[in-house]
Amino acid sequence: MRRPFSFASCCSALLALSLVLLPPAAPAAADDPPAAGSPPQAATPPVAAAPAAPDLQAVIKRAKAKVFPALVHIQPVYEEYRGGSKVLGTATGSGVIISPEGFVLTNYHVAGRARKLICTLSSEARLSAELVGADPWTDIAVIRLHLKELKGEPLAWASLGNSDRVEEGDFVMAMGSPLALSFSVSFGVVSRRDRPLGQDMNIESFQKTGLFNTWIQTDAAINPGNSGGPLVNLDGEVVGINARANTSAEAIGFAIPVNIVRAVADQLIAKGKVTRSWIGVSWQPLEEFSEHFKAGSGRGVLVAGVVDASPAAAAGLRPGDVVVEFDGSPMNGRFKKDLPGIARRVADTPVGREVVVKFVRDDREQEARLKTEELERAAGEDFECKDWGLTVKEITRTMARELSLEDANGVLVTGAKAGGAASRVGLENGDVIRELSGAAVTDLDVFRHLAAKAPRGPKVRVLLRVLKGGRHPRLVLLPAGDAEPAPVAKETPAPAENAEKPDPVQ
Amino acid sequence: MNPPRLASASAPALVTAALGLLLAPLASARADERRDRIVAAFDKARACVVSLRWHPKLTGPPEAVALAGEQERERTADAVLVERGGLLVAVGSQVEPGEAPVTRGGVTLDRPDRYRVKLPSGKEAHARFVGRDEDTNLALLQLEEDARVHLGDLPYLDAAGAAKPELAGEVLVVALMSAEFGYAPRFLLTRVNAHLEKPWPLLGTETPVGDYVGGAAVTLEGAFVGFVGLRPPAPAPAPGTREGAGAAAGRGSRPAPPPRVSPLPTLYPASVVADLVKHPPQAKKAWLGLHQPALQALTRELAEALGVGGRKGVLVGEVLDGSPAERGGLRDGDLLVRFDGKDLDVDEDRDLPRFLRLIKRAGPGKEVQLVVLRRGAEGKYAESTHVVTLEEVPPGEQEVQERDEKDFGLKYKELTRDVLLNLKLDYRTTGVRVTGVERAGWASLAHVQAGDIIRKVDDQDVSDVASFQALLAKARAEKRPSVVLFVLRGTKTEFLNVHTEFK
Repeated sequence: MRRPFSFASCCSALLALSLVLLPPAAPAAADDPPAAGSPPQAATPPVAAAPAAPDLQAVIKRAKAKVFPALVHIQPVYEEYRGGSKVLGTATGSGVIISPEGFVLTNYHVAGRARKLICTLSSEARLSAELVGADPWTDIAVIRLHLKELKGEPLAWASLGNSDRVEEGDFVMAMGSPLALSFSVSFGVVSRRDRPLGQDMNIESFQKTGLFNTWIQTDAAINPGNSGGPLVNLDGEVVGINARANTSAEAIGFAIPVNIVRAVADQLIAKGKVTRSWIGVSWQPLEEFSEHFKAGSGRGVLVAGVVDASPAAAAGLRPGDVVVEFDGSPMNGRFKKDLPGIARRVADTPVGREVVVKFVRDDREQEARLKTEELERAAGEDFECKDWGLTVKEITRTMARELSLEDANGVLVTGAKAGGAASRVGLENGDVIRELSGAAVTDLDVFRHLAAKAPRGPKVRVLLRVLKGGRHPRLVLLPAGDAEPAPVAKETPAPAENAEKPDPVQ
Repeated sequence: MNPPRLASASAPALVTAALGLLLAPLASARADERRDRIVAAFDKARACVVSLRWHPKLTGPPEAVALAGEQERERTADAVLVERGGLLVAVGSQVEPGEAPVTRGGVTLDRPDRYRVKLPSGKEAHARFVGRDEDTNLALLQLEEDARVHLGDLPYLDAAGAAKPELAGEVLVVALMSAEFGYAPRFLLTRVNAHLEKPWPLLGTETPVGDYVGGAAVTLEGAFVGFVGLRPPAPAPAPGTREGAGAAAGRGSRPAPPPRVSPLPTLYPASVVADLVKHPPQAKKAWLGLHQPALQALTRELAEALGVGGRKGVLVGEVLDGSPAERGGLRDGDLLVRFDGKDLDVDEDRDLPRFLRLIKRAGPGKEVQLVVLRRGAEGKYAESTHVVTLEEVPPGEQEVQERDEKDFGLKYKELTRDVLLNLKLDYRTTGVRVTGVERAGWASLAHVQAGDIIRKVDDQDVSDVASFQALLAKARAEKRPSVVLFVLRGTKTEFLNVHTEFK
């Protein structure tokens, strides 16, 4: 708040996100042709005929008044693992109260990793809140205000609309705290109701986002700090949660459609997490390939990849298959914008359910049976090993796949503090510790345990078996807790040019 | 008047003058004799210094080769005859483009099949490349047999019979001048000012010998003293040290280029040349199946930690699948302590490049005995012996030719083992790797990206460049309106539809 215009301090999280957006020049639009079959709106009444301005102003004011009092300015305090140690960080985001119990919708990247949440209401009342649940896959989090701190002040809440009814050209307002400028309203239209934003957006290391939703694109100004705030229609209903913007462009912001948000928030409030099914398939729109894969009439969706040892692999599905039916309902993924729906269809299947998948291969419809598994958390838990100046991350199966590791054994080094024991022996980001003092590090808990009971003291060395860069096996002798100061002096001297040894084997 | 004083004062001067008169013919005779000795030594040496001329061998698309051929000038270097059999020693980096052939603009520069040799007598012959020692940067060439028969006995500087010059001993360094001066021989008279033992035996000279690279040094008696070579710069830091590891790891990151440090003109004693002649390096490099990022020196500390204190050698983190080492029974985690009958005196990571060169130099096809320490069930290390047949180094990314698929606007290469290793892919992965896409070309419009590995074309597996070309040729012959590629990008697979406009 002291430096409202500093991007880094107010909204580093959102900034990082916005970077993953397509660069302005990228032909994103070419990828997703406008939906066929939605005919142009017929008979729009001529606007110029009547002076609509006074009415519109009144409508805007009414709509604003319905949501504005429910706005929340959120300052999360979170833990970050950076440079080999755990540090506290803070940011600024937005939120909207949706119930008299004090539940607030916001983004995962605002509140999902918060240890502490400081909220300011539009009445300027400050109160704390707690995290109810967070879902990185859709970038949604629900927090709950500690209403006791309000001391009886009345609480306003906003109602949620229906994002399926949003159309291009609809007037909308974005509300929130752009650049920490709390309780700001901006105004614009819906630029595109169902923008697909690709499948490769990371919300944090190893955690993808946006796989299960399209986005409402708007030209109502959305800036860092608006994250988590509502996108409001002229009926004064929340139709989206603003989540990202292309910071290199003007007036290109994106909100998560509220129908998606509602479904996620319901689960978060009910059980603190969202359960999804996983079968291990990545999808591609069929349109371009319907002829090639002889899938007539645009029915079905193309299998682009199948994860090894996944339910789909076990069922014999492979790239090039065109899936036409999943668990009794048709799968139609003609265009890129259809893929989030396809992914949702699979995710919403109960975990562990036996489903029948119908697919076309070699011009023939076939059937496979598979059992869904639970979609696991993609990013592992972090841990700081202070003595060694080292931070590590649990390796999930998803991470193991992304890192091309043989299995999920070991822990991933995420940082080594300059001058610390770990950095002195060359451990660095991307290394995988597989063995500690001769014992296999199977997961983070084992590492925690082994690290805690490893011997310490001057001259003591702990033997680590490491995969350098996640790849090359190497043994490392870690000076465990030797208390000698002056890390700079401890650094290995650069090899002197003339100190080369003659070839010992000549 | 002080005549006696004058007399006494001038007496020594007179004596000196008288002596000078007496000795003058003697001094000039000595000078003549010294000059004769120098000339004789020069004559002996220059008879053995030859000039090599060649054009680098160019491979690649014919047009590009033709264009490059016009630009490539003839190269020359000096070499010295060092053996009866017509063996020539030359500077490795001068007669060979590098450890790996150099690629420029799609054209690969390699050493020629034969070098033209101009002998001091004015006669010409041909020589072929025998091999190069990367440590000393010395290369051996041999005159072709018909030339040897034709020319009869040639003079040579006998490396085996050479004596080590004493400190401050005078040596004559002989080399040829540039083409401009008709490769005329010339000499430099200097003194040995240092006997060095590191990094291998070298001689220091009072006067820098930079203008005499490729030439020979002889004593005033005409005995072979040494060869003027270019000492390669110190090896790059081994991985595991901070810099090295970073460069080696990382998906898709290119291996760090070798540091550009000029080699130093240095006088190698004849003993180094004699050693080279006795154990000629192979032109083809051998491969065991170990790669440097997964190797580690068995340091004193590490040896103690592993319970094999006092041992030296190489810790083999990973034995590559399908490699000679794997077939020979080596396993991940083995400690290699003996190679080909020699104890490995490796206890620092800096020794590793030399260990790898030792393998390369042994030559493909050679059967070598390896002794390893292997961790047993109780964590104790026990010795075992393995026999491995070395193979030729598989081609690396830099050595395979980039192909240009003009219609598709696509450049690609054979998938080499080093690329697969970098990408952490199975060594059996097949396909071709896209190295570039032409802007707005067919491939680019289909979102093909550099780095993609094309695994299938229209559902047919791509096993190598030849099969890829065949599949595209088929599509071309059938004038298919679109070609569907199945690519591997990072860890994900994807189909790409390339719209074609075959005419």
